[in-house]
Amino acid sequence: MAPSPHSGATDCGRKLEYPERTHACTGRTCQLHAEIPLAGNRTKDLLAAKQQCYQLLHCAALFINMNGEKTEMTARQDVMLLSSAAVLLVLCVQHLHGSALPAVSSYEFSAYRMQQYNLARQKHGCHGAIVVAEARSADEPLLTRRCVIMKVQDFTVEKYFEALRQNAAAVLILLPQNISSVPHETVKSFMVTENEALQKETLIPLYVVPEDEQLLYMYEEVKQAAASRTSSIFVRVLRSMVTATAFQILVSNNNAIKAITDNTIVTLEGVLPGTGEDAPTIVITAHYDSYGLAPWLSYGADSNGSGVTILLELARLFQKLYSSSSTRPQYNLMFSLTGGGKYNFLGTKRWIEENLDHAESSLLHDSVAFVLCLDTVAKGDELYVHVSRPPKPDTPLHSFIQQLEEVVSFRFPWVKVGLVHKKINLVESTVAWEHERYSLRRILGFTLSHVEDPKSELRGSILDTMSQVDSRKLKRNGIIIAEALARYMYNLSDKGSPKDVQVFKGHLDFQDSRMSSLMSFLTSVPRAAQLLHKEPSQILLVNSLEHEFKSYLQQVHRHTFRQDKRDPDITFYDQMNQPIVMYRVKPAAFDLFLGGCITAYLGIAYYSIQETGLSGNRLH
Amino acid sequence: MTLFHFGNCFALAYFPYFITYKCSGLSEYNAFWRCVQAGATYLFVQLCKMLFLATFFPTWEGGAGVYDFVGEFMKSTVDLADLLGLHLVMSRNAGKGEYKIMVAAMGWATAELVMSRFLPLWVGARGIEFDWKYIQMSFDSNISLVHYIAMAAVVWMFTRYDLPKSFRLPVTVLLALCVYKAFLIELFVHVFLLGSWTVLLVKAVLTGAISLCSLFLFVTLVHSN
Repeated sequence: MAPSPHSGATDCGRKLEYPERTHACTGRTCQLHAEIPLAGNRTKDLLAAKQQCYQLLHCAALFINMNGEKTEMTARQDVMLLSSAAVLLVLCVQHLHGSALPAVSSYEFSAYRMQQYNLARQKHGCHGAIVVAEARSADEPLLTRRCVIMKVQDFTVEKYFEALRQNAAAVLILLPQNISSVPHETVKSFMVTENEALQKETLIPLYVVPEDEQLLYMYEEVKQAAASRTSSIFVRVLRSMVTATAFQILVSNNNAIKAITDNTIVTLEGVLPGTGEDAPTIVITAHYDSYGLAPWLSYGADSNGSGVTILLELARLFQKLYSSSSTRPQYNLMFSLTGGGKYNFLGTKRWIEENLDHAESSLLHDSVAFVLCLDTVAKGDELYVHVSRPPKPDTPLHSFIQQLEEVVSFRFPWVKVGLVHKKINLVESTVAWEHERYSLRRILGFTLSHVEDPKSELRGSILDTMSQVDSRKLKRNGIIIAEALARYMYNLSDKGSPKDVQVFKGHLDFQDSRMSSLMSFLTSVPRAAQLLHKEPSQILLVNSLEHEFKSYLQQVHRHTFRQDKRDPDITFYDQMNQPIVMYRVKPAAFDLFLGGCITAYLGIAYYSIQETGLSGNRLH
Repeated sequence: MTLFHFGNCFALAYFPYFITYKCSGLSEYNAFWRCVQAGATYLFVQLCKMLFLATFFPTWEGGAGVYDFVGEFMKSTVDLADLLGLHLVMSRNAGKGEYKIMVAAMGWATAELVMSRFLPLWVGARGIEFDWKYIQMSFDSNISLVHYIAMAAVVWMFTRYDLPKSFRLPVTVLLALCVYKAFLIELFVHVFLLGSWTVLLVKAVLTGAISLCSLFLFVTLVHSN
């Protein structure tokens, strides 16, 4: 284990505070800072050593207790006991600190605060940001005014609401680097808790931070402290005086949390014009923003990166069909990527208003066959068609759904297609699906999704990452939608084509490489609505989507919608990314204990120096 | 209670010096100002060494993982100036051997304590976080005290005209050890990758060995006169 290279600094990462006196100007490394940098197995070794020490201490405690029960204690036994206890103590301390503690004494990291927003007169999320508290494990019974440290498996509904009930100072969640290593049930329960947490408003700040060595060490220490609350009183006292290491979490930010007032929502549109005068229009739309506990960590792979990917692939494939007049269908195909989708589909609402109320001529004015909304289509073996009114027979919607079922039954019989009818409830504060925005303006639409319940936790979670997406199912759903669309637009079943004809194959097939690169591109940066309007990487992402549109579609427009300053639809709050400092502190009793040890050492030193002085005098 | 921790470290570092000053009988000889003079000589010698090192020694450009043995060895050789400084201090003081040695060593060690350890302790030990390195620093100052007393004794013995021939070699070896002790410790650290407490232990053992040998030689020399 070689020391890690740090230029001009010590191995533990601190600046040179204590240069060796003779080498002050040469920048030599300090002799006392020869700590070996932290490696994973070293943490485990140290914790194992600590466990052994506690067992040793426990045995010592039992031994002393047993001896204490005897009524008569001679002086010799007294001395023997004290000396054995002292030896044990020295051994323990030496064992534990024979090499210095692997953690650094103060550690700064960047954590992401739970999002905070006001939507439709309802407040969501956490309202606090400042934390000055000691770290405690979630297993502890007393959590008041402490910072609760949780891993993904600890963040359950019971434990989170218990922490809220006890007025904890803060909650810090450690996210594993590799989410695919987390078992499926844990992911599901995490998502459910996430959903519940964001429904309400709370004053207790919640921070999410990716795991690393130092934080894992802190978590293990804090968990051990919780576990040792049940051991005997002797061990507890000794532990609190000698070996306990507490951690203080500090988020100091003197600025108040401000509302972001200048956020904008961008919606992109593009058209593939069909043949014939007054051709009806089919609109394909998907929202491209994401939602999760912390905006900086919401990558939204399935919801709704999958919808955007399928939309872009459909744009590419249909552009090929539209490019030659012999294969151009008699429908206009309009594509739309909307922002603000996770917040009651604000982008969609403004875009519809823009087209219907403000534009002189728009394809939405004329006959629209239907609107196909894509929302979360990358997993599962079901495909649900969500409608707000059951489709009447002989309507475009009904025949499209028939085509969909035909394609599925002949090519993918294990996939189940279901129709979900949910009436629009104007009183409800949240809009469930994107097609409801169209239905409110009397444009017929439906949403395709593998999720059945609109309030499902799968539609907005920070654990919704690339690793959770099944790219084969994404491609399969894309093929189903594309084939159904082609059969509908070219009216293939009425023309007598066999039921299993494949339109999209060969050079017209869905490209795996393009889909996977699109998904990686979309999940490379968090696409939360709070970030999309001003962070450079996110702006670049929106520009790239516009560029994609321009390469395949015509009449591409980019609409930027601003909020009404006096009555905004949605208000976001800032301070989403905060630096947190974690200090390793020792309890006050430890200082006293150390003071006692130092006094004893000084007494011995005084005694020995006096003796040498006296013996020196005796020599003369 | 972090001021308490600073107090702990300060007591650990400073009290042995105080005790040594009181018990070695220096206070009877009004040696306070002579110690201060020795401290001033320490500052002057450190300044000269820094200038010399900065002027004549190039910076090391070989990357941080590799240890420049030859370069560090040459830099340690500059520590010979310490010996010259101690000799200068002792030659200016009249009196018995022990008196000269103790004055020089006390002044030198106290100056080093104030210059290189007080500020890190004040800045670091008072903070909210806890680190073992401040206690280690204070222990190190104790070890330095013993080291400087041994070093002063060896320098004194080296400059005696009535040193027996058989003592010449051990005294020279001890002198070399004193100068290169820092270099040896760093060598151990890099070769054996020691932890910080083990380094302290090794330092204590080495200093103890040097001081015992020099004490033995000193007592034999004084007795034979």
